[in-house]
Amino acid sequence: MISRRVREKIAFTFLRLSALLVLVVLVAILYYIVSNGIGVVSIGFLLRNPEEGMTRGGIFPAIVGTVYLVALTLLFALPLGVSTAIYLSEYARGKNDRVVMIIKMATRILAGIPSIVYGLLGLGLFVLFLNLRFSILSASLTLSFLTVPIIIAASEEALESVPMSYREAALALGATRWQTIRSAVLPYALPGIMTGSILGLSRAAGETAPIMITGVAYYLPRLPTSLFDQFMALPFHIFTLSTQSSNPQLTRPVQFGTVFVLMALVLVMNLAAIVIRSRYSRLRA
Amino acid sequence: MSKRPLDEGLNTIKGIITDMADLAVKTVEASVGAYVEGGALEVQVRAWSDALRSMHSDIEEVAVELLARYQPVAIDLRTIKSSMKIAYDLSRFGRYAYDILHVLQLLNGYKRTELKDEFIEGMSKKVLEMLRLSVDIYKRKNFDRVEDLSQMENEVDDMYRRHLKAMAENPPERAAKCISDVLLTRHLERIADHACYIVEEVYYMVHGRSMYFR
Amino acid sequence: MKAVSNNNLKIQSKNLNLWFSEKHVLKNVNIAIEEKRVTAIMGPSGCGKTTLIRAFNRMNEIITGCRTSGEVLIDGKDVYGLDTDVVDLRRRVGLVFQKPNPFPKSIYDNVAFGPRIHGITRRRQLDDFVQFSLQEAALWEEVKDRLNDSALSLSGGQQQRLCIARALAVAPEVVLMDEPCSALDPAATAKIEALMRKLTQNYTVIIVTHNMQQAARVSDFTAFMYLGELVEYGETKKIFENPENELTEKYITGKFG
Repeated sequence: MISRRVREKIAFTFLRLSALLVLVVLVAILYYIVSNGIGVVSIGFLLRNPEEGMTRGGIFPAIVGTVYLVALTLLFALPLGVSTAIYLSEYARGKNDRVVMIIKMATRILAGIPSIVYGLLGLGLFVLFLNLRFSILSASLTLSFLTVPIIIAASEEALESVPMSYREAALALGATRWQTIRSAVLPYALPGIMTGSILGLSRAAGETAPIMITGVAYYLPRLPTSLFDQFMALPFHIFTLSTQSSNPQLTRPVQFGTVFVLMALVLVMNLAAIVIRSRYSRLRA
Repeated sequence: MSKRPLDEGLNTIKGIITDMADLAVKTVEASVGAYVEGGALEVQVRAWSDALRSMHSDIEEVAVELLARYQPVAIDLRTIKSSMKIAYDLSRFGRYAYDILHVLQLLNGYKRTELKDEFIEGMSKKVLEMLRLSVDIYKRKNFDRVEDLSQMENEVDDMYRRHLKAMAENPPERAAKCISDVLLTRHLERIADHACYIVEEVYYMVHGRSMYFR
Repeated sequence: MKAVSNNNLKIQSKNLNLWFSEKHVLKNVNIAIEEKRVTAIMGPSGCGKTTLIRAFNRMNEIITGCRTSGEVLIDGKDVYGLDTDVVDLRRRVGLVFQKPNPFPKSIYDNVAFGPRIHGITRRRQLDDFVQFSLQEAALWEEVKDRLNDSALSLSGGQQQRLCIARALAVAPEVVLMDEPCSALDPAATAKIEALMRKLTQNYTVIIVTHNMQQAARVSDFTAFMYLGELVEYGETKKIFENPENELTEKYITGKFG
C-alpha cells in the first residue's frame, strides 16, 4: 500500500517529466532550425529574388506571396467568421432551433477537416467552377474557408465569455440588440476574437497542400500584380527545395533559411496574439 | 413555527402583567375593604402599590429592549404597545387604592363609623366588579361581556354625578365627611375609567383597530 | 383589483400571468402602483417578485421560453400590446440590478452610454446629461473630478449609485430596483435608501427586497408576494401595523416555517 505522499510525488514527477518532454522537443526543433538557418538569413536574403535555380539569392517573392495570402485570407475570413459567431452567439442564443444546432455542429466539424480536402474544394469550386483559375484569389479564398471555423470557434468563445450582465444592463437602458452587441459586448470580446483570428491566420500562413492545387508556383519572374496572378509562398518553397532541388547541397542552406523565416513569422504572430490578450485582460480586471 | 428570540420577551411581559392584574385587584379590594370594614392596612396597601409601580417600570424596560432589538411588527408590535399602556393603568389602580386609604389617614381622628356611607359602599362594590371583569377580559381576550362593562361604566358615572350634585345641594354637617366622600367617589370613578382603558387596549391588541367606550 | 386609491396610478397590472417554459411564475397578479411613490415588493425567495417588476419593462423576454398573458398598463396603455415599442419602454422604465454592473468603461462613458445609444452625440449635451444624472443619484460630488477614471475603481456602494445614475440618464419615468442594497454594507445601504426617497420627487420607484425592515423604512406602499401570487398590498403603515392576511402576518413576524 503506497502512502499518499509517495503517490503524490510520483504523479507530480510524471507530470513534470511530460511538460519537460514537450519543452525539450520544442527547444530541439527551434535549436535545429535557428542554428542552421541563422547563418543564411540576412537583409539580402530577405530582399533579393532567387537566383540560379534557388541555390543563391533570396526568398523575397515567397515572403511577399505569403504576406499577400495572409492579408487576403484575413479580408475574407474575418468578417465572415465574426459575423457567423455573432449570429450564433447573440441572435440565436438559446434558440434550440434545428437550424442553429446544425450550423453549430457544422462549424465544429469543419474545423477538423484535413487541409487537402479544403484544397480540393478550392480547386473544384474556385479554380474550375468559378473559373478563377490558378490565382492568389483562389488560394486565399480556399484558405479562408479553412480559417473561418477556427475564427468562429474563437469568436464564439470570446463572445460567450462577456458577462451576461453587460447585455442586460444595455438592454435595460433601451438599447436595441445590435446596439447592445456593438457597444456592450463586442468591445470586450475583441481581444479574444483577435487572438483567435491571429492564431487561425498563422496556421493558414503555413498551409502547403491547399495552395499547391489552387495557385502557388515554384518560381515566378515577377511579383503578383493582380488577384488573378499566381504567386510564390514560403511553405511551398520549403517543400520544393526539399523534394525537387537541382542541387540539394547548395539549396540546403536556402531551405533552412526559409524555414527560419516562416517559423519567425508564425512565432511573431503568436506572440502578438499573446501580448494582445494579456494587455486587454489587464484592462478588464 | 420556531421560537423566536422575541417570544421570550413577550412571554416575560405577559407574565408580569398577569401578576400585576392579580395584585391590582387584591390591592383595590383591600383598600375598599379597609374603608368599609375597618382595619389598619395602609402600610400593606402602600407596599403593594409600590410593587405595582416597579412592575410597570420593568415592563417598560423589557418593551423598549424588544423594540430596539427586534423591530417587531403587526401583532407583536401591538402587543408591546398595549402592554405598556395596560401596565400603566394597572399601576394606577395601586395608586388610587393607596389614595383612598390616605384620605382616611389625613382626616384621622374621625372615627370610621362617622365617615361610613352606604352609597359609597355600593359604588365601590360596583367598581370592584368592573375591575375584576376588565382583568378577566384581558386574560381571556374575549369580548362578549364588553356590553356589560359599558353599562356598568355608565352606572358608575351616573352615580358619581348624582352624588356630587347631592353633596352640593345637601352638604353633610361634618366637613370631613364631605371632603372624604367627594375624594373617594372621585377615586372610584377613575378606577372605573382605567378599567375601561384596559379593555380598549386589549381590543386594539387583538384586532388592530381602536374602540372607545364613549 | 387590489388598488389602494385610484388617483395617479402609474402602472397597473390586470390578470398578469407569466410562464417560463412550463413553470407558472406569476399567477393572476393585479396590482396598481401609484406614481411618484416608493412601492416595495417583498416575499420569500422564489415568490416571483423580481419577475413581476421585470414584467413592467418586459425584460423577462430576454429569457427564452417566456410567455405572458394579461395586461400591464403604464399611463393607461398596455405595454404588451402589439404596437408597443419595447426599446422605448425600457428607456421609460429603467432597471437597476441586484449586483452593481457598471460597464468596464469610464464613469463618464457609463452614464453617457444611455443617451448615446438614443442618439445624443454632442459633447455639450452629454456633459449636461452626465452631470445631471450623477447629481440626481447623489454621486456627483464624489466623482466630479475623476469622470474619466474607470467605473470599476469605485466602491460597491458608489458603483450601485453609478448604475442608478446610468439608468436616470435616459430620463425614465419609473425606476425599478431589484434588491439594490443586497450586495452593499449598511452605510452604503443607508445612502441608497435616502436616495430612493429623494427620487420620488421626479420618478416612480418600485423596489424588490427580501429585507422587510428595508421595505418598512423606505416605502409608502408594500406588496407581499408568495408563490407567484400577490397576497396583500396596501399602505406600508397598515401592512406592518395590522395586516389583513394571515400569511402576511406570518411572514412579517418571522413565523414562516
